[in-house]
Amino acid sequence: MVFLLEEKILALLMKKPEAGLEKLMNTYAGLIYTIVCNKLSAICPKEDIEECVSSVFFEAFEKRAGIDLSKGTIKSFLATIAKRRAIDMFRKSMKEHTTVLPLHILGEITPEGAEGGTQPQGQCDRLDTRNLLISSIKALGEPDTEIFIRKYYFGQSTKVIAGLMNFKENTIDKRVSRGLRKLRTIVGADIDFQERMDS
Amino acid sequence: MEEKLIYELDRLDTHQTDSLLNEKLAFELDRKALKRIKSSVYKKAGLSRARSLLKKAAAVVAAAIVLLAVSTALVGVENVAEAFSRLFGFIPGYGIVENNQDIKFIARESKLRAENNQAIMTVRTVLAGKNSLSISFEVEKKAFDESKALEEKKELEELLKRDALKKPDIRLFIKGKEYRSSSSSTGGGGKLENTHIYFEIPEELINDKISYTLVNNQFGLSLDFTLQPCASYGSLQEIGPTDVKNNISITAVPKKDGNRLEVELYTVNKSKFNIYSYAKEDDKGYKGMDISLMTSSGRHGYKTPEGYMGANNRFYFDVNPEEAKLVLNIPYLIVEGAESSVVSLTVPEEGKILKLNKEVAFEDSTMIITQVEKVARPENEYGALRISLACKNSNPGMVLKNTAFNRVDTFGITKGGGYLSVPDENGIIKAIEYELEQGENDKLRLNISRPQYYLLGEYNLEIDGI
Repeated sequence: MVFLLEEKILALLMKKPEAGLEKLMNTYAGLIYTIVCNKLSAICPKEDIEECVSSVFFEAFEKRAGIDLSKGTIKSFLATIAKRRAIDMFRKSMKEHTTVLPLHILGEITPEGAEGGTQPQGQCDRLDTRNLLISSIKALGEPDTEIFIRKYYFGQSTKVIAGLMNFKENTIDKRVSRGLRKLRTIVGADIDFQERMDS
Repeated sequence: MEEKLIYELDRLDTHQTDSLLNEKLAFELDRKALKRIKSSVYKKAGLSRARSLLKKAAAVVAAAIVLLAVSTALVGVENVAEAFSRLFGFIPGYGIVENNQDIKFIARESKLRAENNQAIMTVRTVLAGKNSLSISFEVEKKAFDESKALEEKKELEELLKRDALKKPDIRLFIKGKEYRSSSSSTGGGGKLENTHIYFEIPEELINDKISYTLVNNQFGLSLDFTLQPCASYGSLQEIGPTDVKNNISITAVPKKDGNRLEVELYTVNKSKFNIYSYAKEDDKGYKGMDISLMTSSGRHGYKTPEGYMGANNRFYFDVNPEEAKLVLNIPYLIVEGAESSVVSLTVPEEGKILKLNKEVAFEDSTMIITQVEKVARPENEYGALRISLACKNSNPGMVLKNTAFNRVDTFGITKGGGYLSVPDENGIIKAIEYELEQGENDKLRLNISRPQYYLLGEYNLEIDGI
């Protein structure tokens, strides 16, 4: 019934934008905040994080006429905007600050246009790699799939995931470690190849 | 490996994100942060929070409006002509749908109504999915004192502000077992109260052989209903009289109750626009025209349902039994596009007029900013910029009516901003007065977006055999 809920939100956004926006935020604010916060919390104050979240909702609101539920859900539309805006803000903040950042954070962000410069064949390969990656994460099976999505898509810490999923922290770490080995076997070569193409 | 994984997952497109994300994943956000974010978004969108909350209530009231637009989103074919050859599902009060696997059943009964000395409860729609039931109903309070309407509205607004509005006490009974709603929303503040409620039900209890009982404890009302599969039609004309213009079909579904004719409009929209309204807005129509019912006795104006604000898809007409040859005439639609363009305007000294003739081009029209003038505002020390506008149309079938105007800050981020609109006698915008803020003494950057048009091409729907 998620589709029905999204239909209602979209219909509201079109016909009663204020009510639609309210419903949209009530439904997805937690999700979007999680995405943005985990990307920016190391370098941005709470106010900037909230500003970025509000920009995501405003952008979706402005683009509401172009939302086509047959092509994807509002949830994924918002999540995609959130990822991009958070990365944009991360880059801006990086330019403004000289803070020394942990290497793993720097590693997440690549220069703008890295993908745009890839040739069509490269884009195709990248698409295949990502689809393979998604299916591989799904193939890990529960609860590992959820752990991986929380950790690597939403950027939640082991401690937070352990609390949310009622596991011990070391159980999460073990499952992550085991899952990474499986993923490396399945998609590692693809990702390594893509990295060489991009560099 | 971890960095590479994050890198790839950060760059998923919408479709890939859909494949990855689990529907069950839930994320909490503390209420205070949510309020701050909402406030910021409303400001950016040029909406006021209090108004929004009131409109939320009104939007729930307008369930039919909400559902109407659904039909435009659901039909995924290339054009209306192609759409005609497909199999449609029609759900009264909900919309026209195509191959919708989410909706398994709808209510079998056409009239679902319960009444006592307190109130009348009328169910508008029942939609059953694989493991859920979604019900929209209206309650008319018999003892409602109209003189207390404003008071009740204020109370409702206050409760909404404090998030203290109580959930309606509605239960669903299936085979003697009670089910409580997992979510609900109610709008009201007047004689009519509209509720949309959602129940999660085991899959085996959703079929066309079971009787369901909806109980409204607040008003002591209950009614029984059963389910049936959603009806299928081979063409839109089988659903009701249909006319097609500009890649938008409108199908009328009429009902007669005594001398009152109710017409509900359903669309299949394959145009690039969203339908904003079927009728004139803010009491101003293009060349004075508006929806009407033509009969052998002349032309009739319409009434809209109580509780609706502005546009809706239900129209009521008073028609005598002897009147014949009923034709619903819709002279135009008001539609909205998705384009936008950012302009930078020079703010002149107060009292001086600056001629500009700056053109903002859209695909089907051009908005011309003819001149700007800074005017004093007693309540705003920074004053306002009066922006005079003219509209130029490049498509003879379309008349630019309005656009949205949003401030753009120095970082290129679109913000909100209050402004007054001045329309002409056709409802076409001719000026706005934009409230200036600190730092805007020489420049104002605006995002001009969502061009709204009168889409000409009248629809004539012959309403016979009621």
